[in-house]
Amino acid sequence: MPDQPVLEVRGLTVAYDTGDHPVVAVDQVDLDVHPGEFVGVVGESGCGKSTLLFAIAQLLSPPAAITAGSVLFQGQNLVAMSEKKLAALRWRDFSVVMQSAMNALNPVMSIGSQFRDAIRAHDEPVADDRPAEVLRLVGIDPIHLKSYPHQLSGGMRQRAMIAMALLFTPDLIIMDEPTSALDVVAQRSLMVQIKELQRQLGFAVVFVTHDMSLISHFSDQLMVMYAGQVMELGATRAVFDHPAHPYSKGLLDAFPSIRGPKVPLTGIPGSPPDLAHPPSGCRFHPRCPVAFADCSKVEPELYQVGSVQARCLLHAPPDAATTATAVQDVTS
Amino acid sequence: MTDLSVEKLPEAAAPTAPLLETKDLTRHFRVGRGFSAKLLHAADDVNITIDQQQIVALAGESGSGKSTIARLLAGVYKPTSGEIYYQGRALSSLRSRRDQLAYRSDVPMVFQDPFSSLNPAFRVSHGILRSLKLHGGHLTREQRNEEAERVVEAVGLSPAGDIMHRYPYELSGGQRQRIGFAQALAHKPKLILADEPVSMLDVSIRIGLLNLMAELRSSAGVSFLYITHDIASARYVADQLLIMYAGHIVESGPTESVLANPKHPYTDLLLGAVPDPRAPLTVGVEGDTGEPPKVIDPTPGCRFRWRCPLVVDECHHITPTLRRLGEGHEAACHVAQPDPGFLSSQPTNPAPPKKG
Amino acid sequence: MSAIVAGTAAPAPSAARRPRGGLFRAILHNRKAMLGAVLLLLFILLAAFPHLFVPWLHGDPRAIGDMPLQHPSGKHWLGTTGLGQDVYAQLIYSTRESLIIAVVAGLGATILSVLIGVSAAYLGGFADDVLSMLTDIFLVLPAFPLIIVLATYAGKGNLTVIIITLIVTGWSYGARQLRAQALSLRNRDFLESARVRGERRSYIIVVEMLPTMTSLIVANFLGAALYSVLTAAGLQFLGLGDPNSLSWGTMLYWAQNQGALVNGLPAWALSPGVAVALLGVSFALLNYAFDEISNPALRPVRRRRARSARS
Repeated sequence: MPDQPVLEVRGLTVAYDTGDHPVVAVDQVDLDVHPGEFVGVVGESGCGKSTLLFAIAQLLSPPAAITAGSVLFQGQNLVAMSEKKLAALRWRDFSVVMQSAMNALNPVMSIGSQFRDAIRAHDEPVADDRPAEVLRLVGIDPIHLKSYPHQLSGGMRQRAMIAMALLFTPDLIIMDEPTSALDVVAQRSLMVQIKELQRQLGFAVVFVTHDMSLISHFSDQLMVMYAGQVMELGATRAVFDHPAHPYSKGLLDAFPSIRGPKVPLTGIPGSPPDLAHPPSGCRFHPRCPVAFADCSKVEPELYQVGSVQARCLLHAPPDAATTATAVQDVTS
Repeated sequence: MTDLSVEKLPEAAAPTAPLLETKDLTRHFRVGRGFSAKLLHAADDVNITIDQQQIVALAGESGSGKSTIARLLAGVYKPTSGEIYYQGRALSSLRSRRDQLAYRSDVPMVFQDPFSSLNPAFRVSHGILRSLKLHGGHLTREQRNEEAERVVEAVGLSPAGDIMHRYPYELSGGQRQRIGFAQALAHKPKLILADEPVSMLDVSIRIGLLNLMAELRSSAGVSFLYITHDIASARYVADQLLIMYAGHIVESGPTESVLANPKHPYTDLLLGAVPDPRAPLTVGVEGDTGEPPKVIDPTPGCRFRWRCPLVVDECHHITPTLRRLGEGHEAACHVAQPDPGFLSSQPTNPAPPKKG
Repeated sequence: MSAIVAGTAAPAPSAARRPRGGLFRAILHNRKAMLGAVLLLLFILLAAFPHLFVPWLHGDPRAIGDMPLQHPSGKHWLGTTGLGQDVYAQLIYSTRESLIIAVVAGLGATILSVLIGVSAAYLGGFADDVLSMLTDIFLVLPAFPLIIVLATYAGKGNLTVIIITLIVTGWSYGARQLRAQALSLRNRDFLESARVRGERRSYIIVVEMLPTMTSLIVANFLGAALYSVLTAAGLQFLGLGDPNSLSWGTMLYWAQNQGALVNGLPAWALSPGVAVALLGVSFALLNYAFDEISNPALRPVRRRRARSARS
């Protein structure tokens, strides 16, 4: 995918203004999304992935605010854009699918009328049967245009949300954990459907989830977040096969295998830090199995490690001001 | 470290009665009012056996009825029909409050949501101390406090004295779930009903709690009924695996047998849908977009027939029951094939129908 | 012993609940709460130690004086009534009765609301149907006419009767709210956990459920107190109270009766009304503040420009 990225995020920082000191929920995130690419953003609770998503979509409300960085969508900086220009772009060029369709869909309006609402809100001309068309695209019988959200099953509701996001065939769809309320079979079929639609229509996807194993088969690029920072970023297969960051490795190791040999696992003891008082140095060091002396003193940057980037002092180039006293091969 | 080896559990060496057994356990709910009332069949004719020191996983998607089973066993609901036998005694015969309390002391429950399973108005020791008060009436206050500290330590929370005095909002989700386990452990239970105890926790924390369950089985001799929708975690800790669909148990057996050699098409479907980051992408179940049905006033026949790739005519008329198809391995399916050579080692068996 | 330790005993990140012992501090930080609390405190002082504020008075403030219908002056700060009584002294001394009515009727209505609302929610089924119907009936009854009828028949002027009628007409609104909240709580796991460990139903309602509803119960109390203050004043103004009692409503009654405004004595006519309003305002402010304190989502968000945190 050599063309101009659809989305270029640079140094994006989001802080919550909570009185005493601001809490930095997203810290200097860089991300490139190319046309037709599927980017997965994974992390556990409190890592900032949803905040990042909202920041990209310019949906933050006080006390949260973007305090630094830029979000270039097709070359235009969304952060600096007026609400009016943003409104023109929204839904037409990029759209958002929320986590819980039951919360995002209006319970007192039929699906069809909500679609028509969305169409009316933009003066982009679409065919009259566009609502029926998008429902067919996601595998729902257009007869359900008359249905109300509560009459559809969970899986169908999520598909309806995705159909709504497709009304204007945007170039980018941002999805916030759209599968977390679904069961495993419905989850899988939804993911397959999304990939198929991507193939057909060519839009890019930024997909936020806590379910790393789910994303592993569907994303092209993977970003692992922890405590508001990007810990690892690279092609999905590369990250999965050779995780460069101890946190990514720990996460991967926390999934019991259903097919391979049965081995005892340890997970990652402890819990994510309080973002109002993050640990000194590397934010992961209190829970890291391979932390060494410098980890509590030096804040690592994102270092290039083969084909991925990892925020870990183990991969700091030798000329950086670190004295590594214990270096272990993380991927062993 | 933790003991996960299945081989250590002496299956054949236990001719003792099972710890808990259900017989045709059924629970229906009335939906709608008055004349248009219908019956929701949450669970029908469920037979479960749990032995000492055993972790039995009950797996299924939402709406399968697994939570209903947990609540039936916990005494929250009364069965519509069928019976639950604990140590040989039928639960319906436990009339006096003392008998009922004794059962609740032996068979406590751990809940799914760490954010609502502890009363926010009290310190986290509250539930543990209450449990001790109710079930250990002979203990003095000091003894209760000591025992509470002991169980809090036992679930890996340290220092126990400090943690016990905290309020729930001061603990993380994982810590709260451990308190939930501590509450269940407070009076030396025999069987803990764990209703999706890890599904609302972060992935990195889950393993810690699953390991805790395995350890409690070995060290404290506690059995678990582990209810989950995550088959991979069931594989990790459970000795026996039961698959539930639309109120019925459709397959049951030793975990490894069921996973290596699934006999019911639904089990197959579930396994195919489970993502495994280490395994390459499996070509599979794309065709199926269905979801488990809500079973309201069902007609006879297999409840999976609408989604089943192997459906035959019989499936529409006759509800399949669990049949032995392998060593300890049963499935409720008309077209399921027994293990090769298994049938000939059994006394009598009808000829299996042709696989469609 | 297990080597599995769930990490150090560190507090959970970003707890959304307010700190327990910080109620006092929370009030101090909230402007509405501070104002309401200060006002209420003032009224309590007035009710408890009225003589501190009217030091020159000896004896009964209702004693008839010899200079009726005076304008406010150095001697009588708010003037005198038609019977020569000092308006200011009456005002201060009336605080006690008004406050008593507010608190007693408020408490009574709240207790009734809690009993009926929470029981309805927890018992469910037929009991719920009956209790809800009862609530609805009382909700729909036109309060003021009912109060007038009851007060007239039950004996004019009896303070107890007034308080009882206020309770009887004031509980239903709170019962509805509490029932709704109790219903939403009913399926919370901690209540089911209590049930599974074998607690009795009464224990669960009183010990497990009610403490988690304190903020709504307190808010209900404040609302009921407000209602009582205003309605009692109204009743007394209409002459249904004891004309000899010392309360703001009675003052209003006499002021109207003796033509305070007509005679150009606005201080007499307005001061009791202002007092009633201020007491009501203090309850209302505390009510708002309580909501904000216990539900962080309602707190006003200061729209300051967030400073960049990274150095």
